Amino acid sequence: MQYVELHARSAFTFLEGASLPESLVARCAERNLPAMALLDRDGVYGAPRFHMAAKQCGIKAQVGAEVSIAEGGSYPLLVASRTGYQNLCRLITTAKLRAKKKTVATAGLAELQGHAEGLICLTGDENGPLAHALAKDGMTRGRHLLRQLISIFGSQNVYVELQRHGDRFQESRNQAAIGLARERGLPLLATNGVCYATPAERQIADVFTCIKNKRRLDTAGRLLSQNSQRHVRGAEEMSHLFADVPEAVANTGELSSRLEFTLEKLGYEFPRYPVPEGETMDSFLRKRTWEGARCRYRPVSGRVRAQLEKELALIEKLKLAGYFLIVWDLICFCEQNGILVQGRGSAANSAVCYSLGITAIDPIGMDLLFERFLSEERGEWPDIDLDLPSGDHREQVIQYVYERYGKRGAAMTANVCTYRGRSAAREMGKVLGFDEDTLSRLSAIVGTWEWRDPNDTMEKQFTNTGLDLSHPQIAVYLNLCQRVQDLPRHLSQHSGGMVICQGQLDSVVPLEPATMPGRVVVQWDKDDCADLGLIKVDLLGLGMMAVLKDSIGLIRDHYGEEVDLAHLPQDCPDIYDTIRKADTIGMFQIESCAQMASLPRNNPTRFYDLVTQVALIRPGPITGEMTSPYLKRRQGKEPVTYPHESLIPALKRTLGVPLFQEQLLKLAMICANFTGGEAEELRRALGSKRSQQRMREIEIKLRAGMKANGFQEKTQDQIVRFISSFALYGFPESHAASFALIAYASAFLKVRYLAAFTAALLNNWPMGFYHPATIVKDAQRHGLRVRPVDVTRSQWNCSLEDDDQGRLTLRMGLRYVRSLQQASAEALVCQRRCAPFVSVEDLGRRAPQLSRDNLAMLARIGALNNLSPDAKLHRRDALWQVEKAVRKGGPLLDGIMELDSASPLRRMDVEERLVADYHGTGLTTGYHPMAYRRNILREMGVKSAVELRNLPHGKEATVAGCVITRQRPGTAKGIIFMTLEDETGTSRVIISPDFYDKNRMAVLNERFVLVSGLVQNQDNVVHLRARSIQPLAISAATTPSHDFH
Amino acid sequence: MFACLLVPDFPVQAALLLEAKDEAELLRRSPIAVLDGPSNLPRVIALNDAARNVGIEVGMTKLQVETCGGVYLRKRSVDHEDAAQAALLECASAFSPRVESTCPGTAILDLTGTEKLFGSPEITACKITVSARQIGLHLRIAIAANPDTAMYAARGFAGIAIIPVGDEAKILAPLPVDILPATPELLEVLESWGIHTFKSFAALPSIALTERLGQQGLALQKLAQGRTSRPLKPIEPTPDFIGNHEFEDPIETLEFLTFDLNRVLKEICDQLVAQSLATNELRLTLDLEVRQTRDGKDGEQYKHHWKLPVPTQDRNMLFTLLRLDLERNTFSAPIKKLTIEAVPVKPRMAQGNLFAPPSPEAEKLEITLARIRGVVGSLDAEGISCVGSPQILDTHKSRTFAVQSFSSSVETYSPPAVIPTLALRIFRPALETSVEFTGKAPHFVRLWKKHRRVLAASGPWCSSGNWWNETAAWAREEWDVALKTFEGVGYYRIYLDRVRRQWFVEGVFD
Repeated sequence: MQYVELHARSAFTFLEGASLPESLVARCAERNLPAMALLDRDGVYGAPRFHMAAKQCGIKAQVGAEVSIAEGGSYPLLVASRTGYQNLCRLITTAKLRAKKKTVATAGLAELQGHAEGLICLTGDENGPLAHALAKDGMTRGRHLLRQLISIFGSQNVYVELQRHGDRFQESRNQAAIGLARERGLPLLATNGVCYATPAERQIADVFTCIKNKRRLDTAGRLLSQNSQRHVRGAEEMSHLFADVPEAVANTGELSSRLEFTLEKLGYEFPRYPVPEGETMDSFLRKRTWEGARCRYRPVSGRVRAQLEKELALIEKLKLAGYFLIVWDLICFCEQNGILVQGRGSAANSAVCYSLGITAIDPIGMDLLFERFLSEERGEWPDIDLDLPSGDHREQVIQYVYERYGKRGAAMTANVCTYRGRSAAREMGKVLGFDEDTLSRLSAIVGTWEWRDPNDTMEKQFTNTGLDLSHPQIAVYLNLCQRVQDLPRHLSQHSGGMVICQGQLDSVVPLEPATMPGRVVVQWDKDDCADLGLIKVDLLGLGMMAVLKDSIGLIRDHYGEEVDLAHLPQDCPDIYDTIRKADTIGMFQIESCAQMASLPRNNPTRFYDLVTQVALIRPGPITGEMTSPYLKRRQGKEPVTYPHESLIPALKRTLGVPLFQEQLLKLAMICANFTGGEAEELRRALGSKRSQQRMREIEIKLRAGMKANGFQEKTQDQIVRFISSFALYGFPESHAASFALIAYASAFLKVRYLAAFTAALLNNWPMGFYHPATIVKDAQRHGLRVRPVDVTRSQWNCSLEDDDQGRLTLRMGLRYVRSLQQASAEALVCQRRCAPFVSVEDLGRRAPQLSRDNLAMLARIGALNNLSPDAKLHRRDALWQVEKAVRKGGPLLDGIMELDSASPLRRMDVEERLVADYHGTGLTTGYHPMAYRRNILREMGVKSAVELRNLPHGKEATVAGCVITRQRPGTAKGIIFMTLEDETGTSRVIISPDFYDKNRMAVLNERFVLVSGLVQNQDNVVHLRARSIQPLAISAATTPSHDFH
Repeated sequence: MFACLLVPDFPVQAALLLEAKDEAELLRRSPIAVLDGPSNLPRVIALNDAARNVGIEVGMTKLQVETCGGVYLRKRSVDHEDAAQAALLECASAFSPRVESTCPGTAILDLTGTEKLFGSPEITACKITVSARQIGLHLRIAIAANPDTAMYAARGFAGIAIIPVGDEAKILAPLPVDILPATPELLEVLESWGIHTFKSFAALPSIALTERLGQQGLALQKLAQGRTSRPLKPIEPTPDFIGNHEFEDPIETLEFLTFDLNRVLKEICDQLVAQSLATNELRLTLDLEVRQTRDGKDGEQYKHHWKLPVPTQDRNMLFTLLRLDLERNTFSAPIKKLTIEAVPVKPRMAQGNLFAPPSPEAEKLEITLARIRGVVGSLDAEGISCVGSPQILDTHKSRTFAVQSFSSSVETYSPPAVIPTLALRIFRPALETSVEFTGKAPHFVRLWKKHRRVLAASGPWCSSGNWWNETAAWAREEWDVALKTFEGVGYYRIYLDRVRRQWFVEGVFD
């Protein structure tokens, strides 16, 4: 007898289901089930992954959901038709958008009635409506419920559900249900109410129950499941279980055949753009494109004309004109509102996008491959990403989209948060009843480096922290931590992806309110949206865009110059000189340690060199071993060769080494006669973690094509390696070019307008690679004077002011004072504008928003030193006064200005000031802590960062410094790169995995270190390969390190 | 003058007190750390200097300490610490009648007038040191004109410190301020002012300091200046409420025993009344005559103790309780000696709740319960208390309940969520059995040593739980069966214990 499981929940019924949709499908395949229906609670979160996995296994993925109803119970609803699916999505959306925060979204029975068409209702399990009715008022209520369901869904669309999990009370309910079904002539339906794929996963379900109910395993009692029977069962097992009611099993096949709808027929349509009368969207787009092209290309050459015609014809054919016009509309909105915007990603391969002003790169001039962006045979929507200044401007654009397409016409894509090392360690510990102290300790030690040492297992981490793995409780803990990895925990919103739909988006996918007010999210993440062909526009916040915009404003105000980013002077030698020297702290994309290490070798002298530079330091080229050959060829140390002479046109620009995604598409097209679309499909398949099978199929096709074209086996392997190492981890050339434009602009502003650029950078932090402490020290080394926070001068933001000699100086903003709220700081600035403060007491009285802690912190960092009109206070004078100012003398003494005697406290010494600066602001504007110890260090034979740069290769040396970054890149085979900073600059230290294992504490925890080792000085790139490392007692200051975990 | 005796690394020294003398001396020179905390992650809470020298720190886990090698580990014992504190106080009491138990590991004694007995403060301190060493405690001793100064000096200085009158501030000057009993917030203020030592704190102008840190700040400053004065709170001997009677000839009848029992109880209750105390715990010990039997020794001692719901001084009530217990028991040998000990507590002062429903008096309830225990016994065959109120535990496991003692407070009764429709009479303990299957259903069940045919069966009903606890994990498969018996048909519940792989008959349906 055939059996179909029609009531299954995945882990997307958050904290209830214990298996991923893919695991359920795999189990179905093992048990020879032809179909399965996924009914997650109040959503179709797991449906796309379930659909895609089922498609691979040849299983029919049926859609449905359990919908919570206000009158009680969760109604299992199966989707029979597209109308049914639309009704289900709308029903869930209505409930979700209405629900208050932290409450369960429920629909009303009346709403259910309005959305019943195309849906089939089951009577459910112990949480279902029938169980609720029977528990409330026995058979009478049960009869009433069935009458109600029949009136809502029709008698053909109501099935009385039976489940058997070896539970007496469930069986007595089953007998009542069978009686009622026979009375009303309703069909019976056997399901297993699946919550996990295999019995062993019941443990995870129990753990989730505890997390959901905030209990421990040993206090959860009967909240936990009674047994492990809610797994995927085969037909034979179910037939045996329901031997007394065989029709219940038989009906599953019949009902399954009635469920015609799958996500294949989603019915999504991108919105139409409103055009003037007499125009079609195509004609309107054509006009806007030619208008733009005439401005961009002067003159419009034949090649440009041909490319534009080709692109416009394809856009017309694929009916995508509306999409381009909608993105163009967003660009227009940004321009009208003075918001910097730039398209990135593969959109920059399109001449139409360039002409419409969406992107800033000329794809024809750069000979970019249009098929990477759009192709006919790929059957996928194009993807346009827009970079916007992070913060309010980006929010303005998002709200414009909502306003224009309606709350139910547009939404952000979701982001599925899953259990990772740290969250798993913490929550599993809670469930097992570990105390808070142990939990903090455990979650702190779980390694989160990007690169994972194969030996650095969770077992090893636990042992390192002092946990005894032979203790039974710890063994269970470790086992649970490992098993919950990657299971979904909850949904959040994606940083920028927006989905827009013609008509109502809520008929395509349910919508939910996001945590941020005014935002709505769809229930699917960006990969799910892409898999199901939902078109999205990524509105990404880019900190550097905000920096550029703020810099332009500051330059206008303080330098009296107007900078136009679109017309920056190109190829300025001084800018490239700076870049070549890797003096790039704060510059977009080219500031990381790896970039700095390759800049002198790549030796960029023109814009295209920057494009390759941006693309060079990416996991794809690094793991594909393309970075090193390219740099050697750049330096002339290696001849330029090609895998095959037919590939010369594709690889010539990058010296025979593929660096961009477009190049690998071209390789496939040339070597194996792939069409543009096929090549793009190859790239996606190779990069997709979810489609191993698809990857193998395409690789076979690729090799077959190469063989047919006479490529040797060795060359084939080389080309397959090129392509597979790239996959999604390399940049498209267009994207690299877009980023290179921003990189050049940031370099230009830093070199020419250091004060404005640094202030903007500090005001938009967090962003980039370095902490503000490093940015400030770098700016100071470049001659910028940086003044500390001062309540008599500082604004909330860092600002520029003229010093006594008329030089531009950067004044640190109040935003850098620890724990000081913006509102309090602005109240202070507002009061200061009315009249200057004359004492600490005056400040405390007139700015009551400042708490005692705020005032004490301001005093500690020296921000109150200039408060007294008579004499400059020292920090402890101010602290002495703060304590008095915050202790009110009572009404009797109110208004009496009592002059205080001088403070008996001694001044802070240098060390104390450093500690206070770093504690209070995270940086110091005074000397670098290392500078105070230079004489001693010199006596010890320690080299400064500048001196290290001049040492020859292979020489022994010792350097000392403050650790400012620690990085263990995924591509560096476990090597850790550490950057040390002293008063002269930065030096880079290489730490091998063996050395790390022996010196873990010093590498990970020390703020100042002394490192000895061998100098590696190759092509003016200097590293010190560590042979010994020791902590150094320079200062107790809490200097920050930006560690890339 | 006051002397402060301080035991550094008190938990370590307390742990060493139990070791043999030679062993303790050896250990004292070796690295040793005391661990405490949850069993899955014990941490170091105290250690000696040798352990510090090898890099051990407070807060390390057991495994981390073990990686250092050669470190002796001891688990913290509050009992050992209490014993060590008692030893310290006893040592101190030999030198002064006025001894204060300031905190664990610290005692302060008043040396006023002891010079003629023990000599100068220096000599007294040396004598105390020697005396303490003899009982295995290594002390720091400080002698000063006031108790607080002596205490801080002992905390700050090793060995013996004598602080002459008038030199308090000077001698305390180098001590760090964080040993003062200040709040973390106040310590943070002092830290920000750059005040790290008693000296710099003592030097601040008092009025300005009071304006900023209030009375608390001023009080702390006086401590730092060594200018405080407080009365000592000497320990006073607590009267013991123990009475005993040794019989000239061992007695064998209850009648003689109750007479003396009543008399001893009266003495104890009179003492309690005189001290305005009551008791809520009574311990009875009967020393029995030792007899040699074939199986070995018999007799020796009978002990019993009662925890009462409310404190009482009522001799009659206590006597009735004891008598009921004795009537219930038979002794294997004649009684030589009777001892009664009452644990003193403050008498109950609370007034009954006006709005609470009437309930029996706690004392009368306790006597009634004792009578019931006399009839039904205290514990059943499975070790579950027989007298009390059954409480169903929140678990899927069947027949899991606990018996809690009755209390005089009124509790609301909440019925169980599911009320079974059939009554199951449970066998305690369950009967081991064997089951034969035909297909997937049971066919024969062995019951009362005979194979019974299964006429009908319902099941399997599966449940399992506690999978996270190796020792408490359970899993069972139940069947409800109708068995053919001599009387006709009997309905039973059988189950397979999946952990023990054994079938049982759990009970019979009425």
